[in-house]
Amino acid sequence: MRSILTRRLDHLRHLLLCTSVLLAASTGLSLGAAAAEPMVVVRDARIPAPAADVAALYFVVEDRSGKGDRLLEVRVPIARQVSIHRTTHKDGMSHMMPVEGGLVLPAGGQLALEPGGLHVMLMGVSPMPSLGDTVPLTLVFERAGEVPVQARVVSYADAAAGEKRHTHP
Amino acid sequence: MPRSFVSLLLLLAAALGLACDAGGAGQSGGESAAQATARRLGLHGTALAASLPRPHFVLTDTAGHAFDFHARTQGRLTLLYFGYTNCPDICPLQLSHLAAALDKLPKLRDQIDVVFVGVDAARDTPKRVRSWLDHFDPNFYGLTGTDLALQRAQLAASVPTASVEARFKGGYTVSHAGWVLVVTPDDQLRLRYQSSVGSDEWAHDLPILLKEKWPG
Repeated sequence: MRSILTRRLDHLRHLLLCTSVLLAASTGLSLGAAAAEPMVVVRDARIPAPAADVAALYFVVEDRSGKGDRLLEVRVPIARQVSIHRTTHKDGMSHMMPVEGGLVLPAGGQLALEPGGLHVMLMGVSPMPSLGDTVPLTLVFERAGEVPVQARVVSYADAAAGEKRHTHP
Repeated sequence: MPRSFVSLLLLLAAALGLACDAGGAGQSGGESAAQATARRLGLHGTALAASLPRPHFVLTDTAGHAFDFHARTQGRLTLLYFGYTNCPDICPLQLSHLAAALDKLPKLRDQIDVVFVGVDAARDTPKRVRSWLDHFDPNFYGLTGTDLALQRAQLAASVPTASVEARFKGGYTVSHAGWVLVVTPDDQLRLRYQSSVGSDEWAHDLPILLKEKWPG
């Protein structure tokens, strides 16, 4: 038989979880596995309103643990396939290559996925999101674990403005 | 002569042309008259050391009809871009910059043609290109063609030829020319713009590109 104390604790834990989920939703920040002290903070998660069933996902991850981390996987329920890509320019050509082995989040630093550089490519997107929608997804880190994120669906101009804001703060 | 050999020769010629062009642009103090003009005008694109005639090529438009690029755009300011509709990052970014710039120039809009060439012959069907372009601007021309026709168009425009780059689960990526090419109303391909050039910069440059009389 479970004691009253255990039930109280369960209740408390449930409350705490609800609070953290609410907090994450209201601030747009996502908290890592340890709800009180997030190991990573994800901001500016955005998807330019796609013109076809392919789309890009951009975001910035900050390391708060001071130990760094590695982004292993991105799960997006509305996409049939998800792949991390890097766009590069060389000799007048634009190249786009899948990135293997995840992305390194440097200790105390940040990892930025921005237009014209790193991005998450979403393929077979259905249903197609529209401007103003939010798209739920999950980032999976080696240390911080699963981090739920809400990405905003924005115009390409706004997606690029995010890039400029971070490049030239 | 085998076709592959002809293609190789054409590719070599294009590569040499690009190499010479890059050399010309890189020389200190070796700025051409066109490059000096572009700098004086504060343009955000890179002027070719020597301009090229408006390219000649024929592809298929999004209604499925033959589109003679030179004949259809002659005498007009033309922005020519080679990309592919399954491109999630650079291509839609370029087109949205152009669409936003044209929105800022309602009085000049009718004097400017934007021509997108879908270089991914297998997936860039006329229908898909149309619905994709409509997302940015229904007035943008969309062209596609067979692999051979697309190769010819890229050679005619003096851009490196697109190719399948990386295959992965669920798809493949295509490497393609990274510039928007600008053909001025005097029928000369004069400048190329990188994808980092935004709509404000385009909105600044387009009125100048419409009326500037270039040397030579």
